[in-house]
Amino acid sequence: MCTGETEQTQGSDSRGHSRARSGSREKPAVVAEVRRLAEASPELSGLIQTFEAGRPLLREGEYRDEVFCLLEGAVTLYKKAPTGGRIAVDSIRPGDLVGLLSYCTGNPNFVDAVVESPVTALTLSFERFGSLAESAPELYERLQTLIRDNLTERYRRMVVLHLKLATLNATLEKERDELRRTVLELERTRSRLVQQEKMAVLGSLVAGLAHEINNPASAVLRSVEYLREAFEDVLKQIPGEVEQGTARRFWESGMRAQLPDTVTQRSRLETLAREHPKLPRPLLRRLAAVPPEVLDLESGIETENVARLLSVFEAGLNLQIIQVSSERIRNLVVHLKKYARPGTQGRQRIDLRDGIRETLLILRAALKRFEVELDLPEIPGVYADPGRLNQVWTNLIYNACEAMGESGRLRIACGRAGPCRVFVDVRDSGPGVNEEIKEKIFQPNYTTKEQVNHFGLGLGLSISKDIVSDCNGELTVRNAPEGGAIFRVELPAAEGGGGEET
Amino acid sequence: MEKIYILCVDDEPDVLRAVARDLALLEEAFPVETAASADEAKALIGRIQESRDELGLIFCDHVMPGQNGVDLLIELRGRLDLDLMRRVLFTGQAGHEDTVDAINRAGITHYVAKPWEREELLQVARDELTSYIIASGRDPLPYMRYLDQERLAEHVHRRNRTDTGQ
Repeated sequence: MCTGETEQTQGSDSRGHSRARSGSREKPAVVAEVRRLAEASPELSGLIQTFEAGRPLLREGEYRDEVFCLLEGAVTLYKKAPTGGRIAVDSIRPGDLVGLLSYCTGNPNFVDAVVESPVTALTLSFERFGSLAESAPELYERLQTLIRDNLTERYRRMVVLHLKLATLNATLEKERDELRRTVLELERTRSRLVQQEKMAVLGSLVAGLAHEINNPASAVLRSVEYLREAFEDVLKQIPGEVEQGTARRFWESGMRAQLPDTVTQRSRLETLAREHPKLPRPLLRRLAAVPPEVLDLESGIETENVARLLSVFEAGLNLQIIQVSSERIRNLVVHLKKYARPGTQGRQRIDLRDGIRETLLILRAALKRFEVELDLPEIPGVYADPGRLNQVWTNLIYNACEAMGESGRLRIACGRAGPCRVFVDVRDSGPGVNEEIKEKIFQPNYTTKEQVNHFGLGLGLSISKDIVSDCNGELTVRNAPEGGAIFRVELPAAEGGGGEET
Repeated sequence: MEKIYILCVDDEPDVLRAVARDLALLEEAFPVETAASADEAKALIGRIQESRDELGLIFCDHVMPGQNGVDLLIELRGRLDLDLMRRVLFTGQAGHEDTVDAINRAGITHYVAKPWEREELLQVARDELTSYIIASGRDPLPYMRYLDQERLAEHVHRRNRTDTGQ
């Protein structure tokens, strides 16, 4: 608002004005001389004009055939930005000239010039400005000095600006890199969160389902017990001590018998067919399931009696199969519950081998086509979230299966890797991992598989690596000398970890 | 007269036992054999052929240790001595690609999904064996009681007509 401000701004100006003064006479002195000469001239003194703040001296794109030589105050130059709006491009101080560019080129104004703080300026029409050399040579000489200074100063500033631009670009590039890294990191975190969420949902689904399956399975098991008692009561009602004893033997044998394998069964069937050529083949096949020692005892008995005793044997056998199968269901449910674990349970001291065994049980069907070799000696416990580690085992085992294709040998081994570390190796007999892929294999979204994996859980090696890292462990891959890849999980043993984990 | 066998291949003993039992009604005419693996199945086929008997129908599981069911069926399809044999894939676990292979490359004539019903299994066996008898050019009369009588009768009728026509 006041002139003091102008001076102050001028004093603190850092845009190279002060440097521009060197090599020529002091600028303020020249300005003072211009003013003095103009005021002394009757023709020019009337052209010293004042302009209040906010007033536009030039408008971009318009013609105004006047040149202003600033004696006091400040003017800001604005240029329309290609992106809309306008930006301040320069600040004009006493001693600078406004309108020179249009005067030289004849083009419309290149910029807007707006009074920043009240201005006193010598205002010359192009015509008068052009004839100054003759009409006022002394003033003309001063103005020449000012214009020359102006040019040098602007050149310096251009160089400084270029430097600034380069620095800015470098900073920008750096920031962009950082941004890119942050976005990657965020994506990674997001996919981890999605994964955790999926596993949590799956966990609670499985827990619910396990409960639903457990109830009928327990009911079946209970009924097996009742049926067994009932059948034994029925057996007691068979008249004749010998007959009762024989029936009991067939019953008990059925309750214990193992189904013979197909080869044994076939040879028994062939023997029986030779001994009893009259008996129909389906009956002979059923008889082949009865252990020969039980049958031999009764070699004297007649055909319809054999059929009856066979029914008693099969009642026992079927009851046994129901019992074993429902126990298997219950067992599977227990493991499934442990495996899926709704939500994260946080870290606890665990035996790694439990999780591996649970995972193998869950993946039993997928592993059928492979040879599975386990070498799981006692190792110290570790601190980890068991549910999350199961994701690692699932992924590594599943990955090994994918690498092997239709057949092969899966080997899982654990042991100590140094005084306070333990390892688990998951090894396949597939083609191994080549050097090129080794780098990429742990990156998010990396896959060699074209189809979506069967679990539809988007399990990835990158997530496995993150989980292992979260437990202060390491997941690495190497190739076995005799072929195949070995994925190794190395984890710190829990403190005081001897082999006492159960 | 040489026998026509039904062969069931599955690695689960419970399943084999149940399938053999479900097919007992047919066994008087078509003896049933069971194998726990693809290798055992191939050895059995060799034995059946050595005794100059025939293999009319194979029920084959897919997921088994060793060679899987679809690959076994593909291999058997390539054998001229088994070109009339009917092939049934009998599984609860074949994925999409395996199923496509089973149809296109193994030329299966039927697909039975586990778990199965006894009646369904018997019906599939009857249909397939009827086709086998017709294709083999055997006299269908001894098998009439066990198989699709309508189709066999029509076949006999048509054959007689062709015979007299010539």
